Amino acid sequence: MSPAINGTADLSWFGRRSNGNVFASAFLYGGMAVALVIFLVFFLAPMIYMLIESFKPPMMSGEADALTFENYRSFVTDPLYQTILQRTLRVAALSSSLMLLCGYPVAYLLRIVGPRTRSRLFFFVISPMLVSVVVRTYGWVVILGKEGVLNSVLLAAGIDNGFSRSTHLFNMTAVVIGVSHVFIPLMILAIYNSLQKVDFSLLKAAANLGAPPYRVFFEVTLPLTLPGIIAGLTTVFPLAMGSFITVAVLGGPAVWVVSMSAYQQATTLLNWQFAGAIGAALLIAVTIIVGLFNFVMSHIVREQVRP
Amino acid sequence: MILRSFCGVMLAILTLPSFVVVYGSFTASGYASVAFQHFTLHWYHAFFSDDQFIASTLISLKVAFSTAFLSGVIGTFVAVCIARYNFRGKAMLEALFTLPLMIPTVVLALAFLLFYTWLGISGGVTAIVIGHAILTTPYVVRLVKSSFANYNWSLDRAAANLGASPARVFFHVTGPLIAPGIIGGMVLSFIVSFDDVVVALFLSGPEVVTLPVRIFNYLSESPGPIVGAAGSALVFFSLITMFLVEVVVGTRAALNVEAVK
Repeated sequence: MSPAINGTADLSWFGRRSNGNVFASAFLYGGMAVALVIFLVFFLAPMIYMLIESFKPPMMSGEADALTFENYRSFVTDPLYQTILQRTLRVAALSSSLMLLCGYPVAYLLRIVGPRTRSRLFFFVISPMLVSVVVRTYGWVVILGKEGVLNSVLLAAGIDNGFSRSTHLFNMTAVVIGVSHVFIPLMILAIYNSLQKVDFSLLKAAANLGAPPYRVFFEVTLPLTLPGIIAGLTTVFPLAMGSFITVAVLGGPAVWVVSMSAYQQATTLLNWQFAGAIGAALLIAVTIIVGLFNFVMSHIVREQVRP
Repeated sequence: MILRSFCGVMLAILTLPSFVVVYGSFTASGYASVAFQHFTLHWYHAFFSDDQFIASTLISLKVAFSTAFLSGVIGTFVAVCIARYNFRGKAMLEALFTLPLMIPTVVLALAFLLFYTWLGISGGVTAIVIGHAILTTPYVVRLVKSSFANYNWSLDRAAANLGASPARVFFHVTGPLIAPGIIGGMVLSFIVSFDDVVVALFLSGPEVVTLPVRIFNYLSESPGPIVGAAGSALVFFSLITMFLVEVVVGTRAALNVEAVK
């Protein structure tokens, strides 16, 4: 028998040889089967159930249980929902861009500092993720409110005008700041991962050959980290599109988004069929946008690799 | 230099919201401001004498512990099978156990609400625990799988050849070697579950309201200074958990940065 080169190569006999190992695999496979059943029943089944419900006529309409596109039709054609969908897309696009712009420099700094500083900085990047969204959102309420931290700083600095006397909540800006703050650690980590793979001697070479810093950045660093940027954007965009708590608290009715409609339909109006359609539409919209974005970006990346 | 100062400001902004909540909860007015304020534990007193907040805290702890246990167990089984065996449909299985991370939480929560109500379990602790386990098992799978990266399977074989039963091999050899991954995954599950608002909000019942959901309800109806103390309690619980992990296994080993993503 050849010696094992790596774990998986030699495991076929391990599973079958002695009786004990049959039990071992039975034990592990059994555990996995339980996990699989839990996921099928409590994860996949609810998703399918929601899809099926979304094709049924609204319960209060009293019609028979024939499948229909009615819910989707009214979602797509209703000008109200068109506005809401557009607003949701705007929130997601604006906050994703803000996360990219603010996250890239931080990821870059993480890459160039020494290991000790890096682990300390990582603590600052990761630690907000361990604090509940509701607490961080409340923090922004305290900062941006009418008598909040921002205004008290402005007033203490002698700036006393309409701006420092009014609330900064319940508008698009507050929502974009709040949503970006929630998901930016993921963006930073994604960009950092791709920066880690960049050979920094290339940047030095470009600089030695006379390229000014901005050219080094735009023609070497940025293209090389494009995969990280794509990964980051495709991670945070769906999350931003589905964000609910932050938008509801910081935006209120002024920044009404799709997730709030879904919640309202499901819990207040008890129109499950329509709520299901909204949920499914949100999922479909996210999938299409991320898919298209990935498709376009992978073309751009491939173009660049080709000489 | 510009880069460093920009990043300094960014990192300050990242921690600022949590900081103002905790800082404000110790001040007389209950809100952070630049003016000097006296230190007080008044809002914590109010928090701990509020029956509803205490009940919610207990429910949250119960949910988070159960979730960590459930997803820790099933996630470990899945990760060990994926790392150890080759079988048909393995790629599909792996995809199934990462899928919940790619679906917006609000969509998941909505689907859970509809289906669990149909099953008749919505509005209870069980429903929230199961919902949270779906959210957190992918983290456990990922962390445990990554702790198999440099794993030496001949140790298992040696133990088996020396006559150890499969259960003994698992609990005395495999288990301890991948323990940092398992503990890291369970801690992350605990924190995600303890902090989650969306799933718990959709699945909450009149009697079953977790702490973050209660804070959210206060925020959307009558924000008062007591919310600051309640929010700080959430922050402290996360800090205590992280501290315990640091003491037991070391944060770096447990929460390796790659896997958190």
